[in-house]
Formats: sequence, structure tokens, C-alpha cells
Amino acid sequence: MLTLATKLGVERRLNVRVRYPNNVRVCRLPEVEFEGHALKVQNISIGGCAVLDPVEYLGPSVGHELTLSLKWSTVAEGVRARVVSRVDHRRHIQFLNLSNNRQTQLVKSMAYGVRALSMVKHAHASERGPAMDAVELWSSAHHDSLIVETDVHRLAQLFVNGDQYVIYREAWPKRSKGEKCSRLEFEQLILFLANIPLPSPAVMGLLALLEQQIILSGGGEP
Amino acid sequence: MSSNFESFRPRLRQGRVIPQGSRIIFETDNPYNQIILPMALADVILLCSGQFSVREIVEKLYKKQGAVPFRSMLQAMHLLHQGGFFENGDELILNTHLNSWMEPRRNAWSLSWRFGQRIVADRRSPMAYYVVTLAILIGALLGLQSFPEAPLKLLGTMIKGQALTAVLFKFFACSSLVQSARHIVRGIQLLLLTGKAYNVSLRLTPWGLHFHVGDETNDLFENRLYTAMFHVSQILIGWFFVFCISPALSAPWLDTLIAMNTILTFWEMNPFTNGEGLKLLQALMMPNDSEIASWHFESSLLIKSLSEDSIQREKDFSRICAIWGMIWLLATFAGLHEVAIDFGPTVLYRLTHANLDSAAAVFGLLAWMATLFYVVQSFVETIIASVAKPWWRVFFARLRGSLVRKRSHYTQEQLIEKIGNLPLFSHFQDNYLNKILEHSKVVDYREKSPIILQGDISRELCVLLDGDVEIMRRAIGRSEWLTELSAVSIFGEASLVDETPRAAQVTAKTFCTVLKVPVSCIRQFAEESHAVRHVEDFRNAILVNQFFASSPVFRSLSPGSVEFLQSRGSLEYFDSNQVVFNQGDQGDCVFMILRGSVEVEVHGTSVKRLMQGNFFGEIALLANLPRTATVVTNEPCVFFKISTDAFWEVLLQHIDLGVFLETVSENRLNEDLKILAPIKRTGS
Repeated sequence: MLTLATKLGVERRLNVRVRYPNNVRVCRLPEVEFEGHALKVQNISIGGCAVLDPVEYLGPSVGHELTLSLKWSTVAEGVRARVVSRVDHRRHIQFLNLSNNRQTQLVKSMAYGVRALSMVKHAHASERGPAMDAVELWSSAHHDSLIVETDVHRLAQLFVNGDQYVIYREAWPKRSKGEKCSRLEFEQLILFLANIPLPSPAVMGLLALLEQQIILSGGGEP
Repeated sequence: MSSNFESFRPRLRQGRVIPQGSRIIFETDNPYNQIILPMALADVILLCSGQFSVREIVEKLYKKQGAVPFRSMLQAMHLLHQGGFFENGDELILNTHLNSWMEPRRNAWSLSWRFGQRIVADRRSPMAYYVVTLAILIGALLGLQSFPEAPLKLLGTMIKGQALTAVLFKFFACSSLVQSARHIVRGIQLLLLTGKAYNVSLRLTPWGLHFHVGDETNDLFENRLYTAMFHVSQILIGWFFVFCISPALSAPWLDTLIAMNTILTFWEMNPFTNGEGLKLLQALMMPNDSEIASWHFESSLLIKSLSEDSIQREKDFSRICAIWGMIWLLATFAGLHEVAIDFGPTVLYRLTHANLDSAAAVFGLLAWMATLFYVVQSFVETIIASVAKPWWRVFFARLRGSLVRKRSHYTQEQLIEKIGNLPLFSHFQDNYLNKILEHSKVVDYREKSPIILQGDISRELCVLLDGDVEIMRRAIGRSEWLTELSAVSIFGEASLVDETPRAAQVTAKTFCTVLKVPVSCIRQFAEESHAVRHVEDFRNAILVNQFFASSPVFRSLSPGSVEFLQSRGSLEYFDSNQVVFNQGDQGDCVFMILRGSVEVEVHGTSVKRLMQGNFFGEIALLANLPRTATVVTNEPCVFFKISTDAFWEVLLQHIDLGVFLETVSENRLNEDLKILAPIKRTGS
């Protein structure tokens, strides 16, 4: 998606925000800290992020500049930032000097989330129209699709970036040929599901199950 | 016959939608009816319950996705309609324009009896498919060792040495055997790989009586290697049978089988038909496995054209097809030459000494030569048409111009009828129109005659009653084409405001009839009738009306739709070198160029110039994308700006207009990308 968008110089797309999953850290997306205090990130883009700050580490005022620490798995970088608005506990922060390398790294980490933003849910089967062998169908212009299945054990099939994944209940997701996917792929699936716009209860349930599964598995590969 | 496509309420037969990968399969209770579509079109299928009209379906898609893949949707509707999937398909009436988009393709050369059921396997077995296909390919390679050095000479020897009815019978029998075996193997391959084989039938064609299995389900292949293996095995499978059964065959039958296979293999490699050879090339050049279904929907989605890879791939594909076509054509010429040298005298001899056998031989040979001639002639005709067509057009235009001497002049009633609907004159009552016409004159112009000269003082308003005119502007050292107008439209409307020198030259493109109305007369009667309060408003109305009347794109719109757009749009005036919008801006309107010209820039590079009568901003309208280019005025311009919401209301009434605009958008995007690509490579 980003590649497509940047081809025509659609800079607005570069500032697309990607939501973080609720309970897990995925795809090497950075953690945000301020003076040693970890802030819960809600979404991020190369231009800024939204964090929750109930304790007001960042202070009550808006408009002041501060230095945040963006921590990737291998590197941490101090970034000048400005709090541009606040709504309840949420602070909207603009990055002022995020380096090109970190921007590239961030864009790579966000890729699957951005792909999911163009997913659209298809209509339900009606009584008078054709029946559908699935609970829900989602697809995007980039040939990604999500099929929420009617099966009790096989919950869904995901086609992302040309790869097929099958999601079973209480199991590590599998690729179409039967082997288990890698941890990175698993995280990408979670990021993808977390960024589907206007998710249905079925999609949110699926996301919760996957988050639970990856937490139970610890930090390792399948 | 007027089309009812937009108001047609498609109602699908009872069936179910089975999602598979990035595609959906729609199957009805009738086992013969299945269709595979990209998943993006799932809504189209699910909404075809008879509850919504096509217009409402498009509206729903637009509201949900912000864009509608018009052509894909139309193609899907066409496939569903032609396949008999609609319960109420008989109610659909299509005009010729939509018919051209939804033109059915029928095979007139075969009779088929569908007797088989849809075959569904319990489970797929790619490994078994791989083994079976590999075995076929190895067997075919071994069979190819019996490929004759001179196939046509072999054919000639057979014909000369045997009774020709017997030869033809052997050909028919061998062809039936090979084709049947080929389709049975195809069915097995499809079952192993996709678990489904559709449309099993028995077919009678001039070249055999054979089983047939549809290859629709090869859309479900998810691996490029498997797809390529499938097509190669389908091309060479005859040679596999040659290898398998050659020990059991007598020499004449074996020769017939070899000659038959040679012809079939040669035909399948033909790039001018949608044979296995062409499908193989497509399979090899496919970008990734998930786009297999979309390949068949050439214009699946507008956003697809954003992909630089797909544009490059299409270019490469065309180049390879052209080279392949030339090689195949040379082989065809060689075959023709061989036929002419070896069989020519025989054909003539047999024609002069006719008996039943020789007549059959002659017909057989003539059929073969006619086939070759047809292929060569199609190729040559295409080249000639592309090169010589413009010259033929000029020739016929001149011929028509010289034949037309004079046309009958209009009566007063005919003139009132002609001009009564134009924006300026529609405000006058008939008595005032009569008075205006009494002061006006009707003038005929031959082709290429100047009607208005640039620089003349304008005192007359012109109404083009018949014919076409083109408007040019002379600049220093060059002539600039501005636009073309067709009857009935107004030009020279600037004279309504002030008597300034004419800014452009108007020339008759064809034989024209023009009504010249003195502006002073219009002003006088406007004041008397109190119908016209602000002459400036009328000038603007004329400008807008002129645009819609002359634009080839919008000319087909109904008067109601034009009136609707006119009422929803607004005029925008821009000075020279002013930015209309920037690349990356959010787009919410379309611009029609009423006067002036604009430069379209992508990343600061000028990609094209759009002149009066053209339009821009339609990509944002159709694809829900930010502006893909920056537009800057070259000179003082007048635009007619229409909001996307208002435009969509019109598109819902005119699906064919949506299809056309989508095509224009895709072409423009492709042009932009072609220019962008070298810039990126050079790193500037």
C-alpha cells in the first residue's frame, strides 16, 4: 500500500496511522518512553503518535516540546516531539526530528497495518440472495482477504501479500501447505487484524484469540 | 431500444458463494452453472437478490468503498447474464453501447451436449498432480522423437497413397481420440489440483467428436509452476499418447496420429487465438499467484494501474507476443509454401479429374489452406488498418465533401425547433424567436472554409445547425487546436458581452450550416421581452452548454443529466500560472475546461497539456485517491467545477459513462507512471 501510494507521491499516505494491538507488541514497532516512563501507544505514524498518559508524565499543557525515547528491539533513539493536543488521557504527539533511517524502519514495521486499512467488509448474505459459505468476507484492492469461517475449529483464512494463512482455534496459525508460520508472520497477522477499519465483533474476537495465543506461546518461535 | 441496465434488478438463481483464496466461486443448484470472480466483486453477487437495481448496487459499492470498479462489475454482470445465472435475465435490455461492452462470445463451430455433473473431489492432491503432469511431460518428450522431419510431406504421402475418404475418417477418429484423452487428462489434473472440474460435455466439431472439460477452475491454481506445467502438458499431451500407443498402431494410423498431433500442437502455439500457448505465456509472466483471477478481469480495479510492475509486465507481454507472432507467421508462410509447391499441381489435377475421393481431398486441402490464409490475412489486415486507416478516412472525407453540393435550407419552424432548447434562446417566447430569426441568416460552409477569422470584430453570434467545426488559435509561428464542436451548439458567444476581436478561428470541419444572429438584435429583444436580465449569465450558460454539447464524453448524457450537472456546478475563474490543485491534495470535485488550457505536472515534471473541452480531476472521483498530479493554468481559464457527490448522482444513471471515465483515468495514470519511471531511475 505504501509503495503504491508513494509511487505517485501521495505524501498524505505516509502519515497514515497504524494502530497498536491492545495487549502485545508486534512487528518490532517501537515502544515510546518519556524520562524512563513507558507510555502506552495507541497508534503511530512517521509524523507522530498517540499515547495514553493518565499519570500526566508529559504534563498537562499542550504545545510544549519534549524529548521522547523511541525504543526498537535493538536500538533506542531520542526524538524531539511536541504535544499537539490532548483528549482526556490521550496525547497527540508530533515528531520533530525523526531520522530518515528510523522513518524507514518504522514504515517497514507498519506495512501490514497499512495494508489492512483498505480492507472492506462485504455484504451479508440475504434471505433472497445467494447463501454464503462463510460468516464474513473482507477484501481489499490489493487482493488481501479475510474469510471468517463457519467451522468450529477452523476460524478464519487470511490472504495477505500473496500468502495464505489458516487460523485454528487455540493453535499457532498455519500456512496453506500445513506448516506453522513464523513468529514474525504471526505478529504481522495480528497487526493486520488490529488495523482493519470498523472491525466487526467476529474480527475483534479473532484478534483477541490470536493475541492470547501469542502471549501463551511466550517469546519464542512455534 | 433504450437500455434498462441501470434500473434492472438482477436476481440470481438459488445458489451459494464459496470463498476460496482471493476469489469467490458462485455455484447454483444447477451443476453446470459456476462462475469464479475476484473477491472484490463479492458484494455484486451478494446484492443481486432482486431487491436492488444495478444503480442501487453501484451506489452501495460507492458508499462503502468510495470507488467502484465499473468495468469489472460490468464484466461480471455480463458473465452472469450470459451464463444464465439471473432468474430474470430476460428482462434486461441493453442498448448497442452497453452491448459492445457486454458482447457475448459464442462458439459457432461446435454442438455440445452437457451430460456430466460438476465433479468435486474429496480432497486436493498437489503432489499427485505434480507426478501425473511430470509423467505426461516426460512421455510427451519421448513421443516428440517421432516428430516428422517434413510434416506436410508426410500428409501428402498419406493422401496420395490412400483413399481420401479413409484418410479423412482416420483424421477425424485420431482427432477425436486425442482431444478426448486430452480433456480427460485435463479433468484429472484439475481435480487433483483444485478439487473441482466443471462443465463436462460431449462436443461435435468439424475436427472431431470428443469429451470436453472446461478449464475455468484453473483460475484456482495457486502456484505459477503448476499453471505452467498444466498448459505445457495440454499442448504436448498428444505426443504422450503417440509414445504410449505407437507400438500397438499400424503404420497408416500412426502416421495419421503424428500428422494430427503436429497440426494440433502448431495450432495451440498460435498466439492469435486464446490457445494454451498464450495462456502459458500469461502464466509465466504473472506477477504473483494471488492475481490469477484478476488477470482475466483485465481492468479489475483502477488502483491496479498504480502498479508500475503491471505496466511493465503488459509491455513485455506485448513485445513477446509480437515476436512470437512473427515467428509463428513465418512458420505459417513456410507451411503455405510447402503446400503450394507439393500439392498445388495435385490439387489442380484432381480438380480437373474429379471423382469422390479426389474431391474430398481437394476440399480437405482447401480447408487447410483457407485456415492458413485466414490467419495471415487477419494479421496483414490489422497492420494495414493501423497504418492506412487515417489516409482512408481523409480520402472518404474528401470524397463525401466533393459529392455534397448544397443542402436544403431550414424553414422557420425547423429553426425554432433546432435552437429552442439552447440555453440562450430557451428563455425567449416563440414570437421573439421569430423576430430574431427574421434578422438572422443561414449560411452554408464547405469543408475547410473559415467561418470566423481570429482578430475580426465580433458582432454576430453563431449557431451551428449542422456539421462539425474546429476551433484553432494562431500563436506566433504555430496554430493551436482548441476544440471541436458538433451541431447543435453556439460559438462566438464572447460577442454578447463586448465587441472584442475574435480570440480564435473557427473552420468548418465538414459541410456546415450556421445560423448567424446579430448580437444587437438579441440585446434589443432581450430587453423588450424582459427574459434576459444579465447577459453575462447567459454567456456563462452558453459556455457550459457548449462544453456538454461538444464533448464526446458527455454528449451522450440525457438533457436531464446535463441540466442537473449545470445546476450543481459552478464556474471558477483562474489567472495564468495559477495552481488549481496540488498533487496529494484531497480531491472532492471534477473540473471541466470551458476556456483556456492547463498543464498537468507529476513531481514537478509536465506530463501533458489539457485543452478547452477536456476535463481533469476524475481519478479522485473514481478511485477515492488523493490528487495524483498538480494542475497549473497556462493562461486565464474558466472551469466548470462539479462536486463528486453531484457527479456520482449522474454516474448512477449512466453506468457506461462511468466505464468510460474509468478507462480515461487508467490511461492517464499509466501515462503519468510512464513518465515517472525514468525520473525515478535517474534519481532526479
